[in-house]
Amino acid sequence: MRRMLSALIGLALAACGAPPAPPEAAPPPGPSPSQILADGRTALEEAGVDRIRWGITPYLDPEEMGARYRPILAQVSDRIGLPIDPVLGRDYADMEARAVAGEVDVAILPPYAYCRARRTRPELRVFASHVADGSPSYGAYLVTRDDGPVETVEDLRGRTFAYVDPHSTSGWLFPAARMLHDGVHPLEDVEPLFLGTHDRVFDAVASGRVDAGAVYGAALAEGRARRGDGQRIRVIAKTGRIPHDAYVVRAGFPVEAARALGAALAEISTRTPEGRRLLSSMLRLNGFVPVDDGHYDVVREVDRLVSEAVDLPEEPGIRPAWPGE
Amino acid sequence: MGLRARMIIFVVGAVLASHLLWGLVAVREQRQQMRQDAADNGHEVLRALAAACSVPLARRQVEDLDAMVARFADERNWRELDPLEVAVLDTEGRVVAHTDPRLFGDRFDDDFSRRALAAPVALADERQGEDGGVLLLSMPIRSGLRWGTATARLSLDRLDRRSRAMAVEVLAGSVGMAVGLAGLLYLLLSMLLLRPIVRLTSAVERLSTGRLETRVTGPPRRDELGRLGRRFNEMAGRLEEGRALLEERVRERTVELARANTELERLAHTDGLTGLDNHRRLRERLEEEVARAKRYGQPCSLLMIDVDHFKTYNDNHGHPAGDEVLHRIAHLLRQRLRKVDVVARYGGEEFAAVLPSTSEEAAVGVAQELVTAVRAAPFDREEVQPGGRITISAGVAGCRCDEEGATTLLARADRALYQAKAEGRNRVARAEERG
Repeated sequence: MRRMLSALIGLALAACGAPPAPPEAAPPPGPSPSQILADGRTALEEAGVDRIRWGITPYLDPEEMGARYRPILAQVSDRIGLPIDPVLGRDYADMEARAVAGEVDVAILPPYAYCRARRTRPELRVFASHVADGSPSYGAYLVTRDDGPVETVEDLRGRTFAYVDPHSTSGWLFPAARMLHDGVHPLEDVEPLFLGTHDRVFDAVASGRVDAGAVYGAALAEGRARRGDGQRIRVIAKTGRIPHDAYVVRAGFPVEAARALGAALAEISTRTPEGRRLLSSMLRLNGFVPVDDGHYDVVREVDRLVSEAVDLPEEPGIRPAWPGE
Repeated sequence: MGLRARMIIFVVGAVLASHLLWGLVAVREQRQQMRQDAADNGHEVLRALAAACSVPLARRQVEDLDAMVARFADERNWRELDPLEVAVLDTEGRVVAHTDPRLFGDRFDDDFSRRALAAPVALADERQGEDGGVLLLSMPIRSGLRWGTATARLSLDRLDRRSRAMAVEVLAGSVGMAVGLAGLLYLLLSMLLLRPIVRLTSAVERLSTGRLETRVTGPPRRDELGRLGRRFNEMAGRLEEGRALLEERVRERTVELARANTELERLAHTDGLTGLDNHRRLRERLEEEVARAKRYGQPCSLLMIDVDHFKTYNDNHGHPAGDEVLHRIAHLLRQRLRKVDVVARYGGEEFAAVLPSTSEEAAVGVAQELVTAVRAAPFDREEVQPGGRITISAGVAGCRCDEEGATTLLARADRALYQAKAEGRNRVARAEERG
C-alpha cells in the first residue's frame, strides 16, 4: 500500500514538472559535402573536363583581380581535383559575352550581367554567390561633395552625374531606379557620364569634377580611405540592396560538378583561420553561399522598371578617364 | 447515481481540473518566458549592432552602417523573431541606415522612437499590429558620446505560433496525464474503498434476505472498513447463533406438541376405564367398516353386549368393584376377538364390537363364545349375583349393506340385545330380519 502511494505521488510530481520539450529541429537531409565533392569529380571525369576555365569580371585592374582570386581558385582546384585557369575579361560586357558563348566553364558575373546573360542563354546556371561585409547583398549610393549644393535627389536636375557603366548593377541600374523613384530621369534630367569604374566615379565626385555620382558601398569605403579628400563625400540617397555577384556555369557543364564547386566554395569562410587566410586578399569577403536563380529576381524587377522609363543608347560612350586627364 | 459513477466523476473531474489549471498556468508562464527570452536575445543583438555602429555613425560612413544593418537584420540572429525592420537613427531621429534603404534621411517621429531617443537605456515594447504581435526594441549607440539609437521592429508571429503549438502540446499532455492519473486514482480508490464497500453492501443485502451464514470476506484490513467488516461478521454470527437456538427450541416444542396431540387423540378415542375404544370411536369405525363392506360386497356384523344385572353388583359392592368387573370383561373381549375387530365400550355396562368380513351366523358364533367365556370366568364376589355368576347378553346384527347404514345396524343390534335380555339374559340374540 505504502509503495503504491509513493509511486502515485511520484507520478503526480512528474506530471507537475516541466512540460514536454518541443522536438529538436533535425538537420536538413541530403548528401554530405564530401559526397557532393566526390560526385562532382566523377561527373567532371565522365564529361571529359580536365581543366576548368574560371572567368572573372574586372572590377579593378585585371592583374590585381587575378592576384586576389588566385588563393581561392587554388583551394577550389585542390578540392575538385582539376587545375583551374583564371580568365580575366576586358570589361563587364566581355565576360558576359564569354559566359553566354561558353568560352569559360565558370564565370563570376555581376548581378545585372547575369540577368542579361541568362536572358540570352537560359541554360546558364547560378550555383553560388558570396557574402561581403557580413551580408549577402550590398548597397549603392548617390554621392556628392560635402560642400556641394545638392541636398536631395531632386536637386540633381541639370547637374553632371557620373555613372560607372550601362552594364553595371550598382553603377547604373539601381541608381537609375533610385532617381526614377524621386521623379528624376537618369539620362535626361541630368548630364550623364559613364566613367567605366567605381573608383573613377568616386574620384570625379571627390575632386569636384562632377556634381554627383553613383558608386557601390565598397568603392565608397575604399575611396574614403584612399583619398585625402575622401571624407568630404556625402550620401544623398541609397539604392535598394543588391545581391552579390552570381557564380555561374556554362551550358552543358555537369550539374553535379556545379554543386561540387559550390560546396568547395562554401568551405571557405572567415569563420575559420584557413578561410581568413584565403580571403585575406579579398577585402570585405566573408565567404560563399549556394544560391539559385530566384536570388536575382530583385535585379530583374529593377531592370524592368528602368527599361520601361529609360531608353539607353546602344553605346553610351564610356570615357575611361576624365577628359583632359 | 451509484458510488462508482460518482467516484469516477469526482476523480476524473478533480484531476482533470487541476491538471488543466496547472497546464494553463504553465502555458502562460511559458509564453511570457519565451517573449522575455526573445526580447533579451533581441537586445543582445541590438547591443552588438550598436557597438559596431558607433564609429561608422560618428564618421557618417553610411555604407558601413548599411552593411552592418544588412548583416544584423539576418533573421538567423533573432531566433524566433522575424525582423520587420532594423534601423540606425542619429541623435535627431533621422534614419542613417535601415533595412529599407529608401528611408534614408527620413525622421522617425513615432512614440516609441521618441522615447528611445530620449532614453539612456535599452527599451522594449510590445504592440498588437495588424498581422499579429510586434516587438519594438531600442538600444542607445554610444562611444563616449551618444551618437544615435539602434532600433528593431520584430514580428512575434512565429514565436506566438510556436508558443500556441506548445500550449496545445502542454494542454494535450496534461489532459492525457490527467486521464492516466485519474484512471490510476480510480483503480486505487476502487481497490481501497469501493470494493470493500461493495462487498459489505452485498453482504448486508444477503443478510437482509435471511441468509445469516453470510460473512464479509477479503484480505484483512486494519482501517475503518476492516473494522466495519469484522463487526458485521460478529453481528451476523450472533444472529445466526440466535436463530439456531430458536430453531432448536421450536423443534423441541414441536415434538412435545406432537406427543401431546397423539395422547390427546388416543384419549379422545379411548375409554378411560377399560382402555377400549370409546363410543365416538366406535361410531367412526362402524361407519368406515360399513362403507368398506358396501364397497367390497363383504359381510360385516355388529355385536352389542350388556353386563347382566350390573346395577345389582354395583349396589352390593360399590362402584370401584363394578369398574373392576367392567375392566375384566373388556380384557376378555379384547382377548377373544381378532385384532381387526373393533371393541368399544358403548356406555355404562354396554360394550360393542364390529366384526369386519364376518357374516351374521359367524358373528352369532363369536357372540356365543364370548357369552360362554364371561360366564366361565371367575369374578370377585360374583356369587351374590342372580344366577350366582357375572354374565353378559349379546345382540347380533349382520349388516345388510345394500340397504342400510351404520345407525340402522346399531338399532337392529340393540334390539337384538334387548331381545336377548328379554329372553332371560346370558345369551345371544340374533336381530330379526326386518328392523
